[in-house]
Amino acid sequence: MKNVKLKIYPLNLICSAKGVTFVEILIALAILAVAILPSVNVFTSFKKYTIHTEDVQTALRLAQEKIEEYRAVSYPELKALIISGQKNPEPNVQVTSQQNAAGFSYANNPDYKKFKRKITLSFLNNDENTVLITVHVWWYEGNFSAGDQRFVIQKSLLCKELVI
Amino acid sequence: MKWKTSLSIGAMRARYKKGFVIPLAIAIVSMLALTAYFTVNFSKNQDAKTFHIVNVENAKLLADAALEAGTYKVRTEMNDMGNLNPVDIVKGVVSMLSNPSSSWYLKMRVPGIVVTGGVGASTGIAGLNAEISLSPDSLGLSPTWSKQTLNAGALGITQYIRELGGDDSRTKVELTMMLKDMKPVLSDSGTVLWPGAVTDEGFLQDWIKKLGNQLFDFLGLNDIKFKIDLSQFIKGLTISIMGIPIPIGDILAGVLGNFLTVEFDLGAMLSKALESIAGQLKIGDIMPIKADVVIEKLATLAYTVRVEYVPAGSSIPIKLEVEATRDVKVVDCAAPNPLYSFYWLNKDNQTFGEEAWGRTGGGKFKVMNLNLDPDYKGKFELNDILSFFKGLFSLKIVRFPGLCHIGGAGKQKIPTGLNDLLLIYPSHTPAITMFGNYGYGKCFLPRAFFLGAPPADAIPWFPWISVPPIGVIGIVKVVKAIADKSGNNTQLFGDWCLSPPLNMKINGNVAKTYTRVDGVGFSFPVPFPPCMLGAGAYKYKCEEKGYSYSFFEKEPKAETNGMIENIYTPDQYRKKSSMCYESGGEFSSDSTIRDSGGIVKIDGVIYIEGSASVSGTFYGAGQLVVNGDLTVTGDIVHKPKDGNRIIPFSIICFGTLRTSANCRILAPVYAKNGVAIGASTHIMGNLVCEKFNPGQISRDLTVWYTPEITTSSFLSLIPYVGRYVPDRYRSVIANQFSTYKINNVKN
Repeated sequence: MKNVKLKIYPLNLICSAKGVTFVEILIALAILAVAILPSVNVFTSFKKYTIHTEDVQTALRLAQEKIEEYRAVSYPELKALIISGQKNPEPNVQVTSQQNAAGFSYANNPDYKKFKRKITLSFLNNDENTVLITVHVWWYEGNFSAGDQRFVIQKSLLCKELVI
Repeated sequence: MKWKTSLSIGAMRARYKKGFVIPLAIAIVSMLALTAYFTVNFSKNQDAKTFHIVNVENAKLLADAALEAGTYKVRTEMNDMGNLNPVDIVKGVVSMLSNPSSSWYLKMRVPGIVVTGGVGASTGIAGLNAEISLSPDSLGLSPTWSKQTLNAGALGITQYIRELGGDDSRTKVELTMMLKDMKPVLSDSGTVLWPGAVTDEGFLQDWIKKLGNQLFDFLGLNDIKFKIDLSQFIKGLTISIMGIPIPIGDILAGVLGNFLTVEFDLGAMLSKALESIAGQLKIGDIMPIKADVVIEKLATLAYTVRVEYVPAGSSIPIKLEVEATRDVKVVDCAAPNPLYSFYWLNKDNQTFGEEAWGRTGGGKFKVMNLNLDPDYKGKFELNDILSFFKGLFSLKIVRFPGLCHIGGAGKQKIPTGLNDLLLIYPSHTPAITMFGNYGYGKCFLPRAFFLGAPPADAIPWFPWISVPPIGVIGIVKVVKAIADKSGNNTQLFGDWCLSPPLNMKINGNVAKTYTRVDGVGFSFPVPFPPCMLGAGAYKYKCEEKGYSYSFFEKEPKAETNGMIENIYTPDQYRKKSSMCYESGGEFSSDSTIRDSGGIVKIDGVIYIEGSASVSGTFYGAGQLVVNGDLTVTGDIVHKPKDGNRIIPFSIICFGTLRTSANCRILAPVYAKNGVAIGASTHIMGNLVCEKFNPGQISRDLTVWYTPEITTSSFLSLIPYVGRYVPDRYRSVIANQFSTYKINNVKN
């Protein structure tokens, strides 16, 4: 410990010998507040990111739901949609009261109303034997019209059913 | 040591004259920095976590895609049998199984073939029976013959990796597929290529005797009789005994008298000789020839896919391993369309008598089993017949289609054969033809070609064909219906018959009664450049027989749930439909599937819920499915070929097929509840029913067996399903038949 030498500044550089204690306290509290505030923000961030993670997982589920729904459609029908130019059979649809392929309805579930979905069908490599189902799901943090736009894209491959 | 107990700030400051604001600030700033670092790091971690969640999903999607692409490859390969015929299958099975480069799915299709058959011992020759059995085991193939491993390139999903946002150069995909739990099942009753035949030696012997006698008669040999009086030879014959001449000739002539007169009846001699020769002729029964194709009807396709998905801009792979299985089944695609001209399942076991069949509902029911008219004109012309003979019994022409099958336990006594064409080729001499002409107005061909012709034949006779130059060129076995008994309405099952000089028993529940007419024909060559025509006549005598013919007869399989095997249910058709209509009216008014000429473009299944009225031209490949009654109001025309490509098209009706106007239907027709014919109807294809009532045929119904059309499957868009085509049996991993499940996912 003898190597440790505290450099002592004269107190009178920042304060006078009289009546500065209260100011010091105020300054200390201010600094403390500045230090604590980000910590408080951490909790807000925790909450924010938790919500975000939930949103991502919900979006993934909504995307997968649509993928399953479209995978259940017969291949000729998907192909016909693409050839007839209906490559976006569900463009920009707000998720509200749809029913998923399993028959589960999430009507009136406010949690889903912030999401929008778009389904795009295309041929992979222009090969008419392979359909690419692309589902975009996006949402906004906070209000629909403001804030960050978040999105999830899921793509699934469906090959032509050759036999029977 | 004395402790100061006063710790007031003022005291401290007074004592040390030093502030602690600086250390305090340093501490707080450190805390602040730590908090900021933590906050920033937390954000990054959360972003990374979100990124990871998405990429794990992408890895799963990639694994799914690998499974999908692998399955697609399997589907592509597993039924790629080319155009092998059954004989080629037997020949090629060794190379298929032993050639490592051939598709192992193809190998899977025919792991074993057993062909049995032979000739009965009644020929005097020991029966010849052959059996071939080939299997992967017997060929000593590697146990891993049914395994293959594919990467992303082989699966064709490299672009998909890029679409997912992955780095295709770093992402690895390895899909291993292997067949497990293969369960070989012998086909239920074997595929009978030839049902065998019980030959009628007596007929042949009689036939030869008659032939000989007629020939001898024709040559005049039967009339040759002569006497030889041997007494004239011995007259004057003397012998000398003890020097005494004795007129022994006169004595013998006197004693024996007429005994020395020998009469020769050449005809009788030849006849006896012929009888003796003919009596030695023996024809062995032809044993059924069966091909029991041992097919793996059940197997499990086991997948293992390993994915190392590397998102673009990253070097850290997300690893995933998925294990899945899928059932592999073998489906008999011909089962829904049994490929008979007329197939009546008759689960209710209804039996109609000859009267009911003969009179029907006022119309005639004709089944034409051999259509030579390539353009489906519905009538025969001389060129068609000539084309037929130019074919000279090539397999293409003489591939006998299914005749008809009527299910149920009871026999249907059906009058037959008014329009029979008689083709005679004794001893395999080709191009000997004779058209039956038994009674004007009762034979189709003479009436068509030689209106009002007397019962005599004009026979094309080509000099480059080896036939006897003169004389008998046709000994006929004439097939004739017993139509005379029932009048005009008995034009039923007007089969064209290629009738070899053997009698064959028919299998099944149809009593096809023929009147066999044996006789002799004469023909004389008449120069008619560039060929010779044979003109002649024949005579015959009638003999009623209960024989018929049956080629490639296949017993029907037991029905399942009252349905013809393997045919879909309405719901399944609906699910696989490309166009679905809630009513017939909705279909009729849909202009989007019709061009300006009203031609319906069909690609896949057009499903109509409820009854519908349909007519018009269809273009494309597909199936018209009506879940109700189908009323045909005009021609339903389909072009079965697009260049060399056969386009399948079939009509499936889950109610009754009705016709309200004269029409032609160019499609195989499945009418579950049978037909109600209200106008003249021609079906160019075949007719498959579960229920049927001949009383509902109030106008003429003719089914023209048309191979190109008939072989469209009711099951799918398979272009051609021949009964003896290897493609008949399809290894299927389609969703309708196959259970797919993911068994395990490991990260």
